Amino acid sequence: MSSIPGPAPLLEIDGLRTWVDGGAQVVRAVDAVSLVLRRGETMALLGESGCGKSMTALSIARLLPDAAQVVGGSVRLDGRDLLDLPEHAMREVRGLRIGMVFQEPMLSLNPVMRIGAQVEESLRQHRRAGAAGAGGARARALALLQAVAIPDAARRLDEYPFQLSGGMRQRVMIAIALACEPDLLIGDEPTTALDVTIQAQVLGLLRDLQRERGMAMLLITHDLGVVAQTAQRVAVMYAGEIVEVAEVGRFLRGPAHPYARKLFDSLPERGGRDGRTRELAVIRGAVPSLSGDFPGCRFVERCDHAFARCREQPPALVERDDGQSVRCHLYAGDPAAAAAFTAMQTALSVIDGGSLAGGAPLPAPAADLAQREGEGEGAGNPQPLLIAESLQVHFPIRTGVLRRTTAAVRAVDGVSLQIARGRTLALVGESGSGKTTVGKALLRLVEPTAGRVRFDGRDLGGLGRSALRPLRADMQIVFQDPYASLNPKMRIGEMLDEGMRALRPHWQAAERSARIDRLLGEVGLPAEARSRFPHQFSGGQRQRVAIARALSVEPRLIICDEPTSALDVSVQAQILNLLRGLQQRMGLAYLFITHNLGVVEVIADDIAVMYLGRIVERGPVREVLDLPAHPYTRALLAAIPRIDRGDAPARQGAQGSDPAKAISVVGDPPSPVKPPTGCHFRLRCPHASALCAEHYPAAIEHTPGHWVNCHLYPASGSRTSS
Amino acid sequence: MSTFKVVILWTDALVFLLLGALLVLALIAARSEPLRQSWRKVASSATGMGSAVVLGLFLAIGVLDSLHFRQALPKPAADGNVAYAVDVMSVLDLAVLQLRDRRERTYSAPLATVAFQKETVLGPDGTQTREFPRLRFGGAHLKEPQLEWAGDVWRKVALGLAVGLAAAALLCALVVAVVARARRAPLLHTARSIAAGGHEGADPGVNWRAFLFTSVALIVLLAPMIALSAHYHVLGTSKVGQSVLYLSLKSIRTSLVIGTLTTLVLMPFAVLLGIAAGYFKGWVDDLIQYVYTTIESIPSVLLIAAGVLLIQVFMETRPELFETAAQRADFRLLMLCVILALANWTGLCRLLRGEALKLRELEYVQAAHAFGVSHWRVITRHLAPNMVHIMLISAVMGFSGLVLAEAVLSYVGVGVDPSMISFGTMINDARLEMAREPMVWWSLASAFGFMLALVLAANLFADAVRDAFDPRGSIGRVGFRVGPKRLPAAAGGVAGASA
Repeated sequence: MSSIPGPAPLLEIDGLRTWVDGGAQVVRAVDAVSLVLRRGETMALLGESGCGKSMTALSIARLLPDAAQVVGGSVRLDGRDLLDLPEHAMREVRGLRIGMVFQEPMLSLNPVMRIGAQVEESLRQHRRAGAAGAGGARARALALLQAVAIPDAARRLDEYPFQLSGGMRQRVMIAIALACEPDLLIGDEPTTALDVTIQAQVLGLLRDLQRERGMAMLLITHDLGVVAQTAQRVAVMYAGEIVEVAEVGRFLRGPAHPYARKLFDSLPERGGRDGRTRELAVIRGAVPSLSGDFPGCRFVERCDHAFARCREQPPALVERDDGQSVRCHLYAGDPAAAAAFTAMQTALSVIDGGSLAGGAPLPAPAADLAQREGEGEGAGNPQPLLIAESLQVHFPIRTGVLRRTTAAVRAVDGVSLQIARGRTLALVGESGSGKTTVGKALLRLVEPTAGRVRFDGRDLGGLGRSALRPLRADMQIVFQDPYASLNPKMRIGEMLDEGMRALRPHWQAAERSARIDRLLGEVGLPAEARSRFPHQFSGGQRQRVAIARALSVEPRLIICDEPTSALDVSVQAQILNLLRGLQQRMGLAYLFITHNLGVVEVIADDIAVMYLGRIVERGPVREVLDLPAHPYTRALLAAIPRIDRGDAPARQGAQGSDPAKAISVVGDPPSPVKPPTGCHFRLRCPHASALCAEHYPAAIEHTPGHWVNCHLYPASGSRTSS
Repeated sequence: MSTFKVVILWTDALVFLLLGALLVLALIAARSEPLRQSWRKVASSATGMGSAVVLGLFLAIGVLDSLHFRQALPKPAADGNVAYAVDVMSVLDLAVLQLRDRRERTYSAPLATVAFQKETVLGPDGTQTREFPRLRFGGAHLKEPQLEWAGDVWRKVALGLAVGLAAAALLCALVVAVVARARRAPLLHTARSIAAGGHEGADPGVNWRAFLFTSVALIVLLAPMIALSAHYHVLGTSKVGQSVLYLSLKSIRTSLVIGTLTTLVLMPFAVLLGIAAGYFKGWVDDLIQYVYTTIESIPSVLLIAAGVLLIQVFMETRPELFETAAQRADFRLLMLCVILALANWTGLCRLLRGEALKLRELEYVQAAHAFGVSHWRVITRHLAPNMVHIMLISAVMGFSGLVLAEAVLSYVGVGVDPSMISFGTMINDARLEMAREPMVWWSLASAFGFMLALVLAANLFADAVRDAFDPRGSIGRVGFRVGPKRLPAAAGGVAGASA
């Protein structure tokens, strides 16, 4: 890698090894990682969870937790080995030379200190406040907040972190990291906890700051989109090792390592609009345990191209002629084999849009519907399975001694939607838009304040706890966090049994037991899983258990509340495939709640976009995503970091040459306690007019089946609805 | 005609109930993998194992002292039936009969041969002299105490040490043999691995080294004491001439009963009310919070004093309920436990309410609601099992607090019955003698030493239990330390430790 021309290297990591005490055994989280980062360069460190990315970053800054320790290698910043520095010298390096931004903006700021004081603290620590003392520090803090584009920065200096939104807090974190003009900024998943629109803003900010200040940036992420938008070079990490290093453009055109290729193929947005008919490629299995020695390649168990040598000999990181380094036997030694492999890959990519394996087309939905043993179920029945009309959920805010209700959080403020039998409705929106509350209100896990819900023609309103029970068997839910949704003290079998015992009391024990075995098979888990506890499973397997639990009572509708957003991309593909397969076999209807529009394209038939407790646009997925009408939908689509691979078909929804700039939303979503008058979106909308401030726009049928609430579309000539 | 009559006091019954419950819990823990793992972690930690040995010794003494009976009198009663002695004895009394029965007249210092106070002695020639009279039992076998005493004490200590060391060696050999058999490893290898504190494989097994270390230390400490106690009062005698060692041994049961039964009584209150408050919220929560806030606002000593006085009055008006003085004292002990529990359940209740508030929002509880699972089942299957670690930690940590509380309350005079031997009554008696010159220090010192050992062991054990059960931050507490800096050659060392 030393042969790469260009500016002098700023950071050289050589053979870094970090081990973590995992209780019973030692986990080799980082195993001989070598990287070179040049001045003014952005490098992305890409990989799934548990691959050692964060440990690498923490090792560089020597901020490892007590249980972890660097056991070998060197980290040289400008030629000086950071690992040899005493702690007091290292404190100077952190902040002055290296700035860090972490994932969780809610946890990184001290909640009882004013914003300004926190920025100034960093300045004072490194005596960069200047001769002017306190006044100088304050002026500098103000300049920093302005540099990270915080509106009304002077006022924000005296505010506390709780008064700021997540995106604003992350900006403050960036300002603190930048306070002493470090040469290197390490971002550990800096945008993962943020909404797409906010993520686009923060990524843009980081790009601009990096360009202006010429600092180097090490960006740790699991998101290929972020890599494509921000980085110049990328290093892919797998199981504690770097498996590929390349220029981003080169990488996006053709990742070399089979793992990197699979990552691309399991992305839902890849494959464009034909996603609905094809199964996503999946990487089978999971990242191996890092506590032992590997006799061969670490990816061998999950690789489709493994051959004998892969099991016997660990591959070395080999640099190819185009500057791309790969750790794979396919590229080592035998140029002919590599060339053949590459040629085959390219051919496959052309044929089926990048699916390498497991990409068999699914049977057409129509044919499948016919096969379904339906009793009036399925798409044939015109009556929707579930109808919600003007659903409202307001959480009262009580204040004062008498706890009188003084205001309400309008989490859901008049949502009407329909879910057809055997079809999927995606409910899309940013965090805080109330989409999860809609799901819970439909199931009556939270009590709706107003509105009607009809399930299969029966009104759910006013039904008591016991009257509701028979209906609960028809509607089930799968939650977002597979770690919180399974009781850690119950065996899998007991969990599946519990729902059946409560809702299908007439089933005998033997019948239930047989069903548990069948359900586990259905979701792709071994039968012996029933006697195990949740902690023995990975995140993806836990989500399978959660799906099996929902299926246990034979529901007709499953509300999927962000079921894949806590999972890695490759596992997400597995779960999405599973959900689609189940839908086709059992004629299930889904309400799929998500913030990820890429997933929507793969799984949904219809889509409803929510903003601040109301649906602003709904219609068939193709319609809405191809020709988004509402400015908010357009902004959402534009904010998704795009992976431009040159040959991929351009997204039609995002007009303009630079989609990230095309329709960017400014600011944060307003508070649901006091929504703006008129249209809720008008404060962030580039097309807002005087009319928007006057009254909330009514729903207008933009094209048949495609409804939108926006004053841009005049009601004349269109049907309106409340 | 039987020679004794078994007496089951209230607290005895509860102690054995508790032991039974512990046994059942142990069986459950052995069947549940997560619980077994946590307990294995306790057994693998040095402090956990060491304190468990000390606690085990205390527990054994306490259990022996809970097996009560009344001996038959040699003469039958007037109606021809067997008459039984008025005083209730325990198996422990039987074991240390010498300590119990060899009473002096009043104070004597540890290992003394003469009394603490000068008395007027009538000489054979009729002259009266003021001198320290010889004790009836302490060093009674010595003819010339001034000359023989030191040599005799050292001889007895040496003998005790020799026997103790032999017993310790035997114990070590036994443990090595048993472990070697269980691991199917050669004896020498096992001995070496135990001495190195190493564990077999990845499983952090029982820390036999800590076990043996503590056991040997205890044996070496206790053996000379036992050897001496046959002829001396090792810890001196009390005002009424009782052996202080005997008083200390008898106090152990009182402390254990207070520490465990109180927890047993308060647990149902705290668990049910705490979970109900957090889970149902609304008016249930308001009501329960109101109750415990009110109780917490009353100074607990006041509450306990009022409760004890109430019980006292009750007992005095109904003397027919109690056959013997021991039963009376025991009833008061039990009631003290109940009163302490009523004053102490609020802390745990508060903790559990907070946890229930958190857990009820978790998705698995929501999923249970989506299945229409009943409230009772949600509480018993989803909430309570996930709070066991809190209950366990608070029970073990509360134990030492309660033992100390007993001492303070008895000192104040609202604790156990004055006739019941406890650390509190020992301290209370010693209080009056502290101003004496020379000081009578041994009562207080023994109570202090025994209580310190018990409470320290309980606290260390509680720490080990918390570390093992607390889901947060258990990583990084075992093994794997390669020093403050990275070591280029560390690979071998760490690999060795992890292998």
